[in-house]
Amino acid sequence: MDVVTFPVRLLFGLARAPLFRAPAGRAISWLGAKALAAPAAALRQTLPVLPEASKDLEGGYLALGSAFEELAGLASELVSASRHVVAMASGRETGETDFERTLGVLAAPAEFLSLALTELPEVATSLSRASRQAGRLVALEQALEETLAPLRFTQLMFSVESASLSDQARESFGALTCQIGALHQRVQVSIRQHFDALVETRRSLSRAASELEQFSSSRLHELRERRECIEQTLARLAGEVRDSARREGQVTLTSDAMAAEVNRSVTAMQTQDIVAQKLEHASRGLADVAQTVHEIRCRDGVQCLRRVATVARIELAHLDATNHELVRSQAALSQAVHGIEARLKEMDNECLMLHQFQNVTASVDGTAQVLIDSIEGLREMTCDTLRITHRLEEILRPVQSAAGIVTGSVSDVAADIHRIALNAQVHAVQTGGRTGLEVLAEHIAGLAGETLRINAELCAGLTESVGEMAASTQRLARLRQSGEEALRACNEDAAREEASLHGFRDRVLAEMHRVGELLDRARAKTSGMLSNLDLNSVLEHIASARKKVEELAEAADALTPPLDPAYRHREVATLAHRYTMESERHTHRKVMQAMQPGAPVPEHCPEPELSSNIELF
Amino acid sequence: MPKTILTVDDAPTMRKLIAFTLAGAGHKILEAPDGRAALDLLKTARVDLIITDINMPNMDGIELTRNVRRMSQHARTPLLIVTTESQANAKAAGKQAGATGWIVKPFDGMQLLAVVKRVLGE
Repeated sequence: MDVVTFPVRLLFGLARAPLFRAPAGRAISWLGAKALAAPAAALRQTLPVLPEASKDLEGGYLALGSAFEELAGLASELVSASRHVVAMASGRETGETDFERTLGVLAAPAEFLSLALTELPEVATSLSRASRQAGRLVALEQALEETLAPLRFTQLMFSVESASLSDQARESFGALTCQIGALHQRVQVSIRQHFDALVETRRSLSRAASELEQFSSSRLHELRERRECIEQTLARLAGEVRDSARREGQVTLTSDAMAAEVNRSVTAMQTQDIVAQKLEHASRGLADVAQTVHEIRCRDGVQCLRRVATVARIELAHLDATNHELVRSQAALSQAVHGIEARLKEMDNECLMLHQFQNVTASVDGTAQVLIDSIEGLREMTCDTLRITHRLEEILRPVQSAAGIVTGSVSDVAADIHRIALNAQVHAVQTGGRTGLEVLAEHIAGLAGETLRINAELCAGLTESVGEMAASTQRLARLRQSGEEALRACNEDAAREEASLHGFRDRVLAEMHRVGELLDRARAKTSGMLSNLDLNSVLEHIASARKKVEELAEAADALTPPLDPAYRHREVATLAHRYTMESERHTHRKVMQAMQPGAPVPEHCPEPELSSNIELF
Repeated sequence: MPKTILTVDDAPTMRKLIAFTLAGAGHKILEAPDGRAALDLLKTARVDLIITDINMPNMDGIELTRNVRRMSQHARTPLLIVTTESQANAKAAGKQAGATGWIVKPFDGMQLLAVVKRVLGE
């Protein structure tokens, strides 16, 4: 207790006695004014720093507000671009590109190949059957040769048997034997040639059937592989679509979280206006304190000292609360900026997964490639199938004519033999029924019958073969026509679809690059914002004012005895109107309670509930 | 549907925050730094909603509200007071002057949007 405090406290005690009230009051005023003059002057000097702090804060928060606005714009653009990328990747916003339509391009050749793969093995089977049949017919050559071998013998026998006949009869039989000789020679040359052709036919058929089987088998394998590839691509696309739908949900969640962070910053930034008003209220209170000190000599010194002590303490608490509010706002804004940073990272790493989206475009690219490859593959297969149908048709055409020639030739031989047999029988009858000649004529008739039977068998076999071949030729012709149509459709549409898929991939990549660029800009913006959050100069201004207020408060406290409840209630009532904010009123009540020893002090200032901040009339 | 909203506040930070919050919902925002400037603007501009602070130089928010209600074209225009003040007597003064609602700072952006939507009858 210093040289002023003790006498003032003593005078406060004397002032309670009515007799000493006036002189004690004057003495208190004089001593109080003297004791508080220096800290009050210091306070008056420091008062302008509070509006300066308020101005600094406004400048900083305005810049921050602009940065938040820009960031929110970037975030909004980012969310929109991200949604677009996801929508494209999920196959919803593909523009002119249509995966279904692209796959449809494969439909015609795939249908043709399926048909070809059903038809060609059947044609191969049919040709094999024809080939086997031709083999059986070739075996008939032996039978025919054996059947016609006795012709030579009958020629000799006719010469022997007709030797004793008249010249005219011998001449007739001589002509007959010549015919038999010529026929035998023709049979030997022509039939052999024709059967050789039949052998060649069998070989051709066999080779064609074998080629066809091999072609069908290899193409079937290739087609299965191609089909599997398309199915895998479709499955991968379906997977991407599912994944993109999940990503879309995440983009929404992250976007909502980002909006919440921006909203948090909107709430935190209102602190500037609140703090500005609090500083204004504090300035007014402190100016009042300084004025009270100034007027202490000409007013009731006791009341003035009490008021200075009380108001200085209250304003000190307000400055502390303001300081606290600023630090809290700074923390909330910093949290919001970090939150936005985290959401951006989430948007990149968890939602968009740009590196994975590279895979998506690769997948789109891959899908395009698979489709293009498939179209190309099917086109090749269709061309191959067309080539083999052409080749088979070429093989079958001469085979069919060769078969006709063989049957015609054998048929001619049979007819000649039959004619010779009839002539022989006629000559035998004319010569008076000589037994040997009759027997020979009957034998030739028998040979003619056997030849006819073999020919009939040959004809039946060849008809069957030719029928098989004709059916195969017709099937191949139909197949070729269908293949040519499929190929024409495929050629027309494939180029268009290829261009469309590549265009789509380019659009996805461009949009992804835009997302990446927006992310970079947003990141740069957030890192710049954190430097705008430096409130040190504002806090220093407030701290310098606080120091002066504290000095004055301590000086006034030292002079003033503890407040009685009546004074406390009165001061609460008279000063409360200054504080328009609920938090200010709370601080005020808290200080007044603290000034009464033993009274409970509220521990914390409850934050007003945002939901209760709004009232509609 | 986008509306035209006038925000009146002497604090540029607050005007910016309100404008940012509402423009995000697609509304067109007009700004005035005090009641007098707001009244001048309201003489010519068609406005669907007014959001005003109370403590402003030249003309405060309560006085602005009274004047707005005297303008025939804005007699029924919704008017929200956004202020740091929360005393019952201040709210009563605002209500008596013709305000539609009272919002104490700091407000939540989403809640402000919800209230705006409600008073605009959307």
